[in-house]
Amino acid sequence: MEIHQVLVRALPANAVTKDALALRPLLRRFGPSEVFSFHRPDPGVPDVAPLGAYERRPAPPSGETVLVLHSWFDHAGVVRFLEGRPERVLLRYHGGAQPEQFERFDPRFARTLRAAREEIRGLRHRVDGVLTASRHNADELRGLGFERVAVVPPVEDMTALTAEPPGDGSALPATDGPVVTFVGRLAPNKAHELLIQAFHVLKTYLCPTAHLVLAGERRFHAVYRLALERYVAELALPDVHFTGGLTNAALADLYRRSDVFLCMSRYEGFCVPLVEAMAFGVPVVAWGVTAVGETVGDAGVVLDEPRPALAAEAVARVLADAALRARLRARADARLREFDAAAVGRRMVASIEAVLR
Amino acid sequence: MEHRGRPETGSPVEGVTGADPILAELHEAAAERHRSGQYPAGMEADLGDHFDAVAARRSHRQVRLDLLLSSLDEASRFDADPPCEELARQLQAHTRVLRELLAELVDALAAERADELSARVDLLLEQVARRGAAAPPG
Repeated sequence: MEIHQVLVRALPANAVTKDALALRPLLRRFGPSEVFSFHRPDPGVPDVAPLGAYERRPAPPSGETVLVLHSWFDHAGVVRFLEGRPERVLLRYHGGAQPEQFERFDPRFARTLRAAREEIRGLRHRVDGVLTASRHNADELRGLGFERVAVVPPVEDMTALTAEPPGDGSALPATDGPVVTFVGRLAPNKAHELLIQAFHVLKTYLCPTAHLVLAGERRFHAVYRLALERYVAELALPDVHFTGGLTNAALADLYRRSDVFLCMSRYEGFCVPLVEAMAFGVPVVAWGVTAVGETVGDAGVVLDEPRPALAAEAVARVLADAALRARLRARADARLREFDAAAVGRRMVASIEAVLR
Repeated sequence: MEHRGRPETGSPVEGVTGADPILAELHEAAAERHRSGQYPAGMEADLGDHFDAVAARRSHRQVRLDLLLSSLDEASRFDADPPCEELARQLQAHTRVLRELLAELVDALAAERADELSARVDLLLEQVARRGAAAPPG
């Protein structure tokens, strides 16, 4: 059997692309397996071929071919590609942010998200099964009428990131106090304004020397980014730092310098950075909506409300309480074992076998 | 607990088996700071309102520019058959630079300061010129 993967886009430092590349060696246990991208792959992503190359490849000598389609923000082209093709299809669903969260900053993108949801819904009779990264995503898809949905988290090998040698720190701001960190592209579903509000309370009333480092791609949703920058300026918070996207080496450096990882996202389909923070021993404070609570489990302080004063209180408590930090670190170690790449890989293979049976 | 802002909505906290006892302590500590006056009345709502006000400060021109940028993104997906792949590659490279230039212009316009805008445009034009000179021959 050949199992190939289809991405809508192949981008560097992108969770969906990384998931596909991590899956490939597992899928090669079934037979030949390559990753193809509908849009031309970014040159920064090695070993991903344009989808045209899939159609030009020699016909498999025998046996069945399966395509794993990774969800994205727009699937129209891939859906057209699948029409009339004979391959069985598995959907690897990475979640879909809610359009309403983008409406006031990026109405066109909000429309794209709405269309994407319908495109996904339209695939429910075409796919043989679904692999999602979280129970939250699985429930979302069952709500759209999908059956045969298995939950397998991303196959992320954290040791690769934690083994990154220390860099020169040039990509990171100079800090002279506790560092509160969040990693995620600047997008309304990540709710950076809530992070800034919590930091404002922390800095003003609880920990005047704190810094907030917001790492993540800032090329998209320019209006949201501008609003955040203006907001930070008007609140007079010079210790809020936007780093942009980081290399793995710089990201590892950031985690090593972080004292707390704070997540106030309104929507996450899984949120790999939560696990990355745990891998570096950084205590996690997070608002537990969508898949966030599920990913963190009991290994962090999970908030039941996104209130700035509550988040600031939690961060201040973690900073001040060594026993709490030790407890969270021990729980995080246990949680990390559940995300161990080899163990998740075995689950992934078993789930694929079950779905294709 | 004092909180007059619009409450955020979201699904209930998932994946957590039993509320962590620390959560109750954190709620109580935050409430006490409100009660004692350490936090100004309406602090959280004011922070939310402030961001809403900042986010609303966008001209119609900026909204229109955003939409045009998104249109350019959509129109920039050149997927070609093998004979045209090289042309598509060049078009994509050109469009990437153009998109970057336009995005920076949109940001510069949003800054609404003529001197800053002029300096940024000069800088961008220099960058584009340098990139053009460094681009491999088509």
